[in-house]
Amino acid sequence: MKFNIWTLLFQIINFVILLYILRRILYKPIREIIEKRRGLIAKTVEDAEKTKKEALELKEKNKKELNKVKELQSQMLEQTREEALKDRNKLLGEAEKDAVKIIEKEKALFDAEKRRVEAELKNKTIEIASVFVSNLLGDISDEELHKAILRKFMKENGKIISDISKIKETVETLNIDIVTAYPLPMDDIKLFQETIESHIAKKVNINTTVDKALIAGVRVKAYDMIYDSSLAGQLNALASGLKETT
Amino acid sequence: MKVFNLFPETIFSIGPVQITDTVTTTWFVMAAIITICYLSTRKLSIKPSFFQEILEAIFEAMEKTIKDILPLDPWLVVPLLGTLWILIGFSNLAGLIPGVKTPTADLNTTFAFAFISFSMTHVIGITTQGLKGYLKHYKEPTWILLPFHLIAEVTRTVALAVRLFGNMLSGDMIAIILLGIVGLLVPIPFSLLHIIIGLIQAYIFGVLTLVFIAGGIRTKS
Repeated sequence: MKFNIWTLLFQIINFVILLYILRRILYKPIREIIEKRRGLIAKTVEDAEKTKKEALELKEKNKKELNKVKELQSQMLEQTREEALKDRNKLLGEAEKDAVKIIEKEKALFDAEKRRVEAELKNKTIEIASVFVSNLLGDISDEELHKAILRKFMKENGKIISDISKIKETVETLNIDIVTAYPLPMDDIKLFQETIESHIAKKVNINTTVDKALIAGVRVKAYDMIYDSSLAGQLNALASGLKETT
Repeated sequence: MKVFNLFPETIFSIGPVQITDTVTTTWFVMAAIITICYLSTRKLSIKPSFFQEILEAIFEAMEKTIKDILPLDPWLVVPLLGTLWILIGFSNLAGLIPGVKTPTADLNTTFAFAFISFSMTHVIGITTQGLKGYLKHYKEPTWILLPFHLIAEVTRTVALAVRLFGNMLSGDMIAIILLGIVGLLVPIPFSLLHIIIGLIQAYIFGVLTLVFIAGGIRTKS
């Protein structure tokens, strides 16, 4: 092997040419593409970090907002609860008052009803008692009893006469109605008429009627005055007296 | 019987200029390299294809290697070193084609590459830290070592050239000798070995150049 300067020179030149060509077609495009990708990756990473940061900030913000909303919610809830409690107490108070009123009203109504029923019961009782008594008296009374009562009446007629004499009437005749349980004997009528006439200066006209309802005794009516000595009349007087006592 | 000549022959001459078969083979190799590079970088995109990924991986590995050794922008050295690697590698492998002589099995070629490596070391050293700064590293650690530095400059460059030449020539020789002795199939494992040796020698050549460049720069810090 011998040293060949031309080969050496050519090889150096070849290298330089190849270097120049490869610089154009290999290194430059490769370098560009690699750096472009690195730039892109860096940018993407930066973007991703930025997005992440933003997302974190947003998350924090949302959390704060949520907390605020929660606080507000709890406040509102508390407020509502308080109001509801107040309303409830108020309603409860009103309801109690109403209930008291209603109870009082009911009680008053009840009392009135009670009184009414009591009165009715009493009246009924009195009525029944008087009917019973009148029936009883009707059964047990007879003409003897009647006459006894009549005699008693006649003895006490002074009061009637004094009452009549006090009346200053202009009419000529005095009409007197006499109702008896049994027919009155004419003698008695005459006697009565004369007794009255002797006390007043007037003519006396006497009408007699028989009424079994009187049971026994007599009822005299002069002017607007009634003198009742019959059993029925006395019974009625007793009944009404009892009724009035309440 | 035609004797296969391992050594370069002059194919033709233009005046005093002699063109050897080494040079013509190198041209073919260069043509092949340019074609491959052109085809492979024609359709580069942000979303790499499988092929582009391999290409980028190679360049990123290169970039990383340089970055680990040199305190410089790797892309300043990548084209020089890359071209060295590619040209030597392809030249080493060219010998596998039957009838083609390995260009790097010519001492002139390896000396040319060694010279490039040698100049590269000094040019980069001077451009990055100035002539004065660069020359300083020759007197370090003491003046006494200056002659040794100078001897080293020469010897390591010669060693670079001879190492590549010897390895490649031996590979070719072994192939031819084995072919003469035992026929067709036996040299195949040796050819495989030759591929590996070719790639390793290209790598060693580049890395040594890198180390020399670094040696010229490191003194600054």
